[in-house]
Amino acid sequence: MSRPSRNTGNAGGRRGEGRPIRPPFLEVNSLKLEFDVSPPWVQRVVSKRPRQWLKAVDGVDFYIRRGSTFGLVGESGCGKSTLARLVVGLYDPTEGAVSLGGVNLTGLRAQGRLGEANSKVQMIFQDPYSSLNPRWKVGEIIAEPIRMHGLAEDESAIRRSVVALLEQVGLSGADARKYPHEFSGGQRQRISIARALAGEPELLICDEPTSALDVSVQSQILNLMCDLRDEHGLTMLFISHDLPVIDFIADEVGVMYLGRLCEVGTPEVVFSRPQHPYTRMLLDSVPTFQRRGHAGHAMIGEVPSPINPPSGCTFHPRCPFANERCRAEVPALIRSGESWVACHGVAEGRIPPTGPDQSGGG
Amino acid sequence: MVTVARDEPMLEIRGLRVDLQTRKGPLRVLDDISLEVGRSEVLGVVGESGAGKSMTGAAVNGLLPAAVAIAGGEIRVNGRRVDNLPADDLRKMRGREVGTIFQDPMTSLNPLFRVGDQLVETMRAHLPMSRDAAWRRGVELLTEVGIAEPEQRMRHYPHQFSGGMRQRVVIALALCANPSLIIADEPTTALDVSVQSQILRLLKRLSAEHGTAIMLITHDMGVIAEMADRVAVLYAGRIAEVGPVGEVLQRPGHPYTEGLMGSIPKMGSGVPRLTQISGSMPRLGEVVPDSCPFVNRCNVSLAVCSKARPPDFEFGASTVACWRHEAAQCRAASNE
Repeated sequence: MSRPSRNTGNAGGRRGEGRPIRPPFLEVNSLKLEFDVSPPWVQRVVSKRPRQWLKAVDGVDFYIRRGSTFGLVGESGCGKSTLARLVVGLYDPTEGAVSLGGVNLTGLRAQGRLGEANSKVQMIFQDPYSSLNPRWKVGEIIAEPIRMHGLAEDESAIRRSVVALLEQVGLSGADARKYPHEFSGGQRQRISIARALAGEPELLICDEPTSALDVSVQSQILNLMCDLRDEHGLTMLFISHDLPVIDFIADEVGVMYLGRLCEVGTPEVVFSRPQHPYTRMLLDSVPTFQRRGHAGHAMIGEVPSPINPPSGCTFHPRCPFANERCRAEVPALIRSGESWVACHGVAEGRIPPTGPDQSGGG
Repeated sequence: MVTVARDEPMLEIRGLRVDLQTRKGPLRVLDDISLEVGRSEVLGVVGESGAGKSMTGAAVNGLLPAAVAIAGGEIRVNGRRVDNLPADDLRKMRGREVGTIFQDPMTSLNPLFRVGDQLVETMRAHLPMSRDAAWRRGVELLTEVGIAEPEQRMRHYPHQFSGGMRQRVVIALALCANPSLIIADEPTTALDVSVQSQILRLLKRLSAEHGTAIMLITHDMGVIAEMADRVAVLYAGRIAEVGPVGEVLQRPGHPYTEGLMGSIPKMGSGVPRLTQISGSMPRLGEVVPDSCPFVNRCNVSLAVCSKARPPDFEFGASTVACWRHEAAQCRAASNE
């Protein structure tokens, strides 16, 4: 599957394609997760209501190379966070597998060897208020992963690494004795980052880490994360609904809609020459000064419920290019230009390439 | 109906000071805020959390929290002073003259009543209307804010609407009595980007069609860029800069605004690092009265910045509270 390619300019985000230098590190293979949202048994029997399944993640494939950052964008309810939780192992997939450096994490977890699987993966959450235990001192919070994974020999070594971690994220060693409530939102997010780094992870999952912060604080945290990524050679899965943030931090971006990836490529290409109609719509809805006054293509409608998703391509009710085939057949993610796109219209060439009115990128 | 002179602003705030009473004495929440919003104008109010954006809105419609009170200055809506009104008159003013849209639509809608009944009740509280007439106007309003099948939707409960649709209902409620001013406090923060752009376009259209003035409170510079005609940048309870949106965003006069604009990631910029403002905004009571509140984070500060509070200087079409512009003005004067 990995044919040797001289085509190094192609930074594809999919299996079997791309640069020979760095092999895929995190691999996600046809991952699916369904939640049982059926009405209670009595209601099903009495009022003859059927069982219902919510397809949160519906067959997602992608990989991330070691040391690079994969950004995931989409509206709320499209399954971004669920995907992150699947990768970390907070949910068990209905189908498919997650492997890290060739080791099948899903398999390890199934055998109950959770610790082994999890030591290399750490996560940073959106809300810096609910993700830190208010009764623990900051020092204890950061020391916990070190103890848990046995990464230091004795207490004094643990204390030394806690101080080093706090300093790395721009806090002082003395902050270890304080409680989370003594810190502002931005500082708490720094503590979360220090805790994540304490486990010496190779893969860092960031679920909207800056969405709850003010822009001036967001820039501090984003710069810090870039520095730490380079310093520790971290691989990152970075989730955000904020397209400019993803454009800034990610090497590769995946656009998600109702549990499926609909476009994957480098941010430069995806954001400046979007192909999938959904990506175009998302880009059009980013408010910018340049686009002020342009009517643009107003976004139509809202994300439908994943309980009874539309047939075929789930985007068809909102898509201006939808036809009969789109309503019937699920499009596969296939190579198109420099990106990967799941759209019949793009594959058939019926959707015009991005016109001059699309000023999404530079 | 109050007749308004053509150029009189719909909302005028002069030297507003708001204090929070604590056991250790009052803390200044808003310090000498002066703003104007004209007919059909959208004034954006931006700032970090805790800068006093929402307090400014709450002071106008008389919804300040119990421990917080106006300590000085004037607020005029349609030329009438409203900062000293008794509670009864304030209640009549809210909804009639000043409509409000909050961040979370569920806090403005009663989950136990049909949307139509809530619209009818609000209209009849402010205007002499029969139930039938109010119901018909409710249907018109829902159509106007872009809700399909308005007759059926009038009979639905709030939980039967999606987040974006609920916010449309709240906008319809705010428009009920045809107010001259709408205070929109983070109206799209709880919504997705795609729905956000729909709601912003709707607000902009309604403001143009009805001549309604809008005070748009948000922390999102993108929203300001798309919506506002003028923008006021708040910092630690004071106005750092006010001016036309193009000026303030593209040629900021205050170092804080400049830092803020640089810290926002932009599409396709390809920068390896974002500009960042070090430190954080001083908290309540931490601002030294006779100084610039930004002095500790400012990388172009002067000696005078920590000794005296900067007055408002003119900078192009904007007004900027920064001592640097005094030096610039002196230089300009001596060159002439």
